[in-house]
Amino acid sequence: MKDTIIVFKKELKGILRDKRLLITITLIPLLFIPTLFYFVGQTSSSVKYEKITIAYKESSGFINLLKKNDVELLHIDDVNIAMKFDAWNVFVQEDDKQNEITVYINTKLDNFNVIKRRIDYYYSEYKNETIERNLKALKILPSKIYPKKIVIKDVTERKNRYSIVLSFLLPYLILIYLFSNAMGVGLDSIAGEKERGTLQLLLVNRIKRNSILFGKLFATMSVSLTGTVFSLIGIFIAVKMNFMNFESNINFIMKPDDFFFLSLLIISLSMFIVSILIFISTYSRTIKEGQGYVMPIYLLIIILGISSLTPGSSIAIQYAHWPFISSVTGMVKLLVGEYSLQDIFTAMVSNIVLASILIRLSAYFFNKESIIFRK
Amino acid sequence: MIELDNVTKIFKQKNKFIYACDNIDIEIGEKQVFGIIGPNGAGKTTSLRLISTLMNPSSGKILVNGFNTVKDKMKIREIIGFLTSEMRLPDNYTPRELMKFFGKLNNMKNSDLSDRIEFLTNLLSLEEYVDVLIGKLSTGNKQKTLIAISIIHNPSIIIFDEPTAGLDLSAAQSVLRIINIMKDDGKTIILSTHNMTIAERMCDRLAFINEGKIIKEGHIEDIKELYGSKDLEEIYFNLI
Repeated sequence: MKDTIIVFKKELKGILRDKRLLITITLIPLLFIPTLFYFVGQTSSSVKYEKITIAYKESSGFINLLKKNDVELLHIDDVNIAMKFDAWNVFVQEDDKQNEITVYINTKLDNFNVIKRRIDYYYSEYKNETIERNLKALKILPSKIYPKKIVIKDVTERKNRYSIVLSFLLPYLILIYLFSNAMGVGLDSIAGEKERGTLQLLLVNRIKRNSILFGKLFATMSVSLTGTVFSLIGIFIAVKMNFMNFESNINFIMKPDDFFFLSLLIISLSMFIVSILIFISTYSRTIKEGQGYVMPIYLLIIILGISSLTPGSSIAIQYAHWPFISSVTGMVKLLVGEYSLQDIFTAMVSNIVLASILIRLSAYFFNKESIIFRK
Repeated sequence: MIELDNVTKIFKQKNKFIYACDNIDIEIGEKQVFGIIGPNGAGKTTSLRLISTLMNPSSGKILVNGFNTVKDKMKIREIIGFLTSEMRLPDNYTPRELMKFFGKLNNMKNSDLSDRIEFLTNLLSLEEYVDVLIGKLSTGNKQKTLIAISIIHNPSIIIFDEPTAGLDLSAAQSVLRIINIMKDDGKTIILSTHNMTIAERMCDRLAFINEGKIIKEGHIEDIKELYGSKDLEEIYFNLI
């Protein structure tokens, strides 16, 4: 343990001296994330509701209904001229004899899908109104014809829907931050020493391999966790200031117990992620080689992390006990406030056990000449 | 005393077996400076890695002060210092911090460590640079720092693999002066080099190594007498 602390302190000192790294894990998330949220918020609010212009020749039931909606109506006398004219989005022509409404629309328009959806919506409104009117004329109650309506009510008390969205998004972001913040330092920790030739200097001293590995593991974890905490603070600032222009403020409250378990889960996940990097770093001859091994794992983690964004997805349910997925789903449950301690402990223990196995394997690599002196 | 008894080290490379060390038999007495001379790829670095416990022999055994390099690695690591020309120090530490780090790893007490840092700083003329970041030091001072780190725990056996490689004349002279001081201090030194002048100036005994085999070993004067030449370089080229 003493040697682990010595290695940890030395590594941490080196990390703290690296100003570029410090700025990357502290200042950049604090500035970048709120700025990103602000611009996304500005962009989404600037996408204004676009009024559509509907041209018609003869006023009819459908056109009369459209008058009640927020559309611009344009009366046209000559249909042939109207077809060449582009001041409208849609041209509506009703044929009572054929009992048909023809809607002319240019499918090359950028907002074609939006216009089509709105025309479909107006038509279903027109259809319902017409049926109800006709039923009344036949003295039949609409309730006798229509099935019961579905009314969906939100039973969530503690959090509004934006908070729920954030509860699913945060674990994914935490997973990505933990990995990306640790990547550089983790790979440099051993592969970097191999490149510099200083690993031999360390190995020829009377220090146990596990002490070296754990010292480097904890130092890399410090970077990974610090970067993640600053990124979360960045998100917190952006959310508190409502940079995303949400309609209502996010009400994100966590009980102290939930927060405690969430912190433990994040720490154990960080330990697992960093041990993967240390393992790769031990095997790799150079940092560049290590990057080649890390990238596919990073992509896999992103894919697995996406399971948190789609709660109830087959991945999230079928592979709930898999590494990463168990932690991500555990975090989601903790953030939503509906979790079982057993699930959280299982995720934590599996992270720690897997990390220990990887560290043992790395220590084994340290004693393998074919790996340490691989050319 | 260091004894290499029929030591062989085989590497497998692309279905080919390479004998980096082939039945090496050497005895290195205490307080000696022993030179290992040979061209690149002769097996010098592998021999030194075997003695310093970084590698295990494929066959044969190595004893360092009676300790086996395979079974008693930790005990040997306490009594040896190791330096190779491949080593490059990290830029964001000072020589003092690195000396402290390696001193603590070697279980040195704070007071002993401070005294030792003070002593080595003076010995290596690093007073001005001991608190300067490595990245800002000259190549010579970086090499001096490496020497300081490798001998911070005052080992009785010091292994130097090409300690003057890549250094300018003045820096190389400083390094050789330090090796001489350590020799006078009664340390056992193993020095690998392909510089005959350095070998002749520094070593008591020599071993010529080529293709993993010891081709001649003995006192410098005996070797010169045996081959009837005063020029060690000439003998070397005749041997390999």
